[in-house]
Amino acid sequence: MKRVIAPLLTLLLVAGVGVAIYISVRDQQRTVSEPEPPPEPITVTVISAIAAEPWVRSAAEAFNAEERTVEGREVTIEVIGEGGLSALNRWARGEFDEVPTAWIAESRAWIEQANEAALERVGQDIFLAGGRYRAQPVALSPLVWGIWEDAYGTLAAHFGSEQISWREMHEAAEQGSWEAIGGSPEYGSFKLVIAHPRRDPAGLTAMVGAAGAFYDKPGVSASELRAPEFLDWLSVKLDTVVDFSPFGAENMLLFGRSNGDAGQILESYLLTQMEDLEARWDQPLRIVYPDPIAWFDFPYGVYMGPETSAAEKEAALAFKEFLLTSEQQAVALEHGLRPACAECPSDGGLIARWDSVGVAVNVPSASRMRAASRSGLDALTEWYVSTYEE
Amino acid sequence: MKLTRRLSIRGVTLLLLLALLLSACEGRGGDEANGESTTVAELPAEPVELTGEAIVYLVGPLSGGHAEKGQAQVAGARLAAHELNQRGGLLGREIIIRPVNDRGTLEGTLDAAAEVQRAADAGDELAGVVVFEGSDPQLTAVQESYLGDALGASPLVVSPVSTEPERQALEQTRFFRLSAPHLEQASEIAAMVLEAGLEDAAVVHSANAYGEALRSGFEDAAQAFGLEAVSTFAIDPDANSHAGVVEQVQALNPSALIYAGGDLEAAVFFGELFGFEFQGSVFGTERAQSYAVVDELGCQAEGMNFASPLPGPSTVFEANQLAGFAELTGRNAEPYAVAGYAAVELIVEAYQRAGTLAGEAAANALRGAQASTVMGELAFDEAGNVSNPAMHLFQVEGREFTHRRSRPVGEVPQQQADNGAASGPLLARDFAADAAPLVFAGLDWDSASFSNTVARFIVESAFDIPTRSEPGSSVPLFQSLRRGDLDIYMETWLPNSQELFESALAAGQIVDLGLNYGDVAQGWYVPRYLVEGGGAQAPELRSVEDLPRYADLFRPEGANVAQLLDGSPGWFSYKINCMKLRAYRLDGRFAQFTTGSEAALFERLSAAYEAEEPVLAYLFEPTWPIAGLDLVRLEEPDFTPECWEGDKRCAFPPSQVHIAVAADLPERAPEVSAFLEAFSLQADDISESLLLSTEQEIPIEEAALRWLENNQEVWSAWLSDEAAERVQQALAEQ
Repeated sequence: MKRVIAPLLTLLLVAGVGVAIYISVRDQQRTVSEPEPPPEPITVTVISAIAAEPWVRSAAEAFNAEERTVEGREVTIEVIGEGGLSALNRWARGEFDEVPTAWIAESRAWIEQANEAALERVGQDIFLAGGRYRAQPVALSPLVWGIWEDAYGTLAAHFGSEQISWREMHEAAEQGSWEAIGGSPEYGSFKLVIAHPRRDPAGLTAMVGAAGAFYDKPGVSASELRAPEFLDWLSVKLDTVVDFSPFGAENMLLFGRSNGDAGQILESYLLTQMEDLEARWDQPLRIVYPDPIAWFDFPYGVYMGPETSAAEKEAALAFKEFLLTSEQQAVALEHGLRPACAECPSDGGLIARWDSVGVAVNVPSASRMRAASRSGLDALTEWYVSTYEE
Repeated sequence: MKLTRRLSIRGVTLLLLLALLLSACEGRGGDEANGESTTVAELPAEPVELTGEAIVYLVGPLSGGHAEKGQAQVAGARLAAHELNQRGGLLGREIIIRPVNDRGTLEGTLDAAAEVQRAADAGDELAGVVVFEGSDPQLTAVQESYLGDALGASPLVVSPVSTEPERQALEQTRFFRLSAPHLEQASEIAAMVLEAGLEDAAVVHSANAYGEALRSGFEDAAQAFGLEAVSTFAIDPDANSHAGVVEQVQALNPSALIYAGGDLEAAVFFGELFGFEFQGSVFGTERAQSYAVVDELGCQAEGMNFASPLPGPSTVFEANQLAGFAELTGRNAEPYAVAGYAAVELIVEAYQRAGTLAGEAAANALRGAQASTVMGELAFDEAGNVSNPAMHLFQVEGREFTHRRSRPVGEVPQQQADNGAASGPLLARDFAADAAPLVFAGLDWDSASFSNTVARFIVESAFDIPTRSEPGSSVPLFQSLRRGDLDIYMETWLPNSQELFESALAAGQIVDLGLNYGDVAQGWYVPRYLVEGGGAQAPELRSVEDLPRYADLFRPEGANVAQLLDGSPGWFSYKINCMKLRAYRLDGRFAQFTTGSEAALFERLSAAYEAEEPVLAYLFEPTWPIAGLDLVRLEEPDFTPECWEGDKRCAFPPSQVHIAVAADLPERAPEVSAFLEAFSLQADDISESLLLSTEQEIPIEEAALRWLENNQEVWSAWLSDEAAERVQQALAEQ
């Protein structure tokens, strides 16, 4: 009997162990197999230069509507409009409640400045110039001369050329009055509009463009920007500025020639205002392209710090690619911006619409000014403050 | 009793098996449902058995123009340290990575050296220094700072990217270089050119020491590998335009363009070159492998090839390592991450072998030895150089650099395969002893194989002249025809090769014997079941303009954009499709899906077709899918030359396929010339034969012979009665 019972007990024991293993694994798998929560969505926060903000915001809405994903996680783009100098200071100090994922600055110069400013704090660049995460222009807009039509006529007649650049403006400024260059005395003194160099990136950018004209080359060094002979030359033009307001361009368009005869203004801003201008004034604003010419190239930089994850950085890159699609580049044209993608045409939107006031479809890239170094911009800012604010 | 015991044993076994089987089944199902993998970051962070520290300094550009390289290198080193610390660290010590920013400048290098010095003075356990010297003065600073006695320690010094020849000549006992000297890029690119079947090349190089050295390297390699024609052009790195050189390269129209210079001048040069639609293959050295070039050129950059001493991260790291990298570093891996990872691996390996934390001993353990790294098994010579380096080929695809392949430096290049084209006479017969064979261009696509077989069979049988086929690609073979090295080129596609064709005609180098076949189409195709019939999913899809409405149909699950099936980025049509996507404003919704080859493109298309799935593909006639599958070509605006010179927002031009022969052939072989002048095929016939070849799995040559057998009335019209009879006789003897 024992000889029968023992194997049976063994059988039951082993069977029990087997069933126990099965139940244990099954329960474990049940736990694992429970429906997983949906992958956490990714929110990409993009700080955008004010001049590009309306376009970037519309692109973000289009992007979000498509419910795009990265690594299976739905991506939502949030856009915060912020001027370059203000954003620069925050990047430099790391003063964000929540660090943004990307920054569309006005120009590469601000990206480089943010890097230099952050270097002491974090020990490395926070935006990259090369590689997959490179800061890449997503739209373009040059700083052009906006000149009231009758002022333009006087300048063109005086200089015998339709091409009016910094050197011609310099001569006109030296003459001091419109009467002196053959214009109507009613316009009084010669007045330029330059944006406030400490409050609007267009101000410093315009001054760098002036340096390009002074040295007759598209790249200038910090020492060249500091050179007294250049600063003396520059001050001749800046002395004609009635008011270094942060709203210089707006005031010129609002108050007409009493505020400024000609100004260094972002082309995209002018184009978006052109219709209102026509309604408000009996003469258009002529657009003239300086040579060399300073640009905003709206570089899209992905923040490389550890506060954002690889997936968030990847989602930021996806939005950059979206901005560079031909469809979104065409939308940029409607906002007066020029496309940054290699194949996208410029002859559409507001560029095509305002050719009657001198808007050129093609602006030679060879005459494009290169970004100045931080030390050069610092030198210009210091000189401006000591000369015009103290 | 025995029965009971047997039952009990069987029962136990059965129950156990059942239980294990159930467990295993559920286990597998669970894994699939879970989809999780263990990542590095999930492993225990600080193994308790590690005591003490082994510090590795990563000195490189963390800011400035090359910051992406320096930062990626640090990130790679961190991953290596993290993984190696899980396995016992460096001789039981925790490997600590300390990044130091040298800003990519000499001043920065000196500052970094001073920082390392301070750390050493403060008692840091210095195991290694990974350096990133970009200039000779920087190298001198590196030597003086880390390789002498100044530190008071003797760390191993590793440079992942020290490729200057003079640096490779250094014989410092503790200095190891991971990459091949950059001169090797010259020979490797020359090998790649040869392997691609390209035989003539223009070398454009920067007029500086780097460019001159590589130019010299290319010339030596070309001579060694038998590249027939190499022309060289220097460009000024500081110039705003290279129009003069561009003009000369255009006039030469080489099948391969090799570029050795910096990325900034590359962007300017290629911008001007591609303004004229250069159709040859482009190869560049590592310094030109830059997104600045891709951003500047857009679609024209697609298919460009670059040689690099570093492999792509996704080809050397496992999936869980890539995930771990992302978790640890907050970014995805780039090529220099591989360099940082390998450098740390190497340092740890050396100390492990030496069994001591003495740098000299570790260096001795490594010199003349082999080490296993993420870059493969690296063997080091006594001078600290890798004696078996590899070179890696990257190709631009979808505006990214895709790692295509790797090859050991010094491996003898293999000439391109013959693609099935016969090299000797087709007919097994004795030709006249003095009959020199006529040489056909063995073009590497199917319709050309068909045309060639038909023509060669007739030449051999009707005129008793042997033939042979010279394999290769279109541009190099056409250049051979111009030089008189080939006699007959059966498929000159116009307008694709219009400029080349017309310039050769004008120079009297070739003779046009007229149309082989004409009006063949290429474009974007969808299956008819998708657009017609009761179950059609896209009933109103007629033209490319309708595609946005149906984008979701062509979008694979989980993808953000729809797919346009395409071939290889090396195809000229690939660039055109890229431009068309832009011009139709489809690039935000559609992307080219690179299948890599004609065969892969057709295979993927036919798989989707068989499953009756939505599919959109770039196709061209005459090919078997056009004949065998019921497809509809999407309408596009009519072709105009103006559109084609602009954004290409119009249909591909209908192609005319001409027969071109060497200038002296009509005089040398008038009967052959007369026959070829009369030669004329129908694209539909070719497509049908290619379909037959595919369906019955027979060589194209056999399908061509069957066509000859079944179409006597067609080909006999090209010949005299006597000649036609001889062909008929030969066919009967097959």
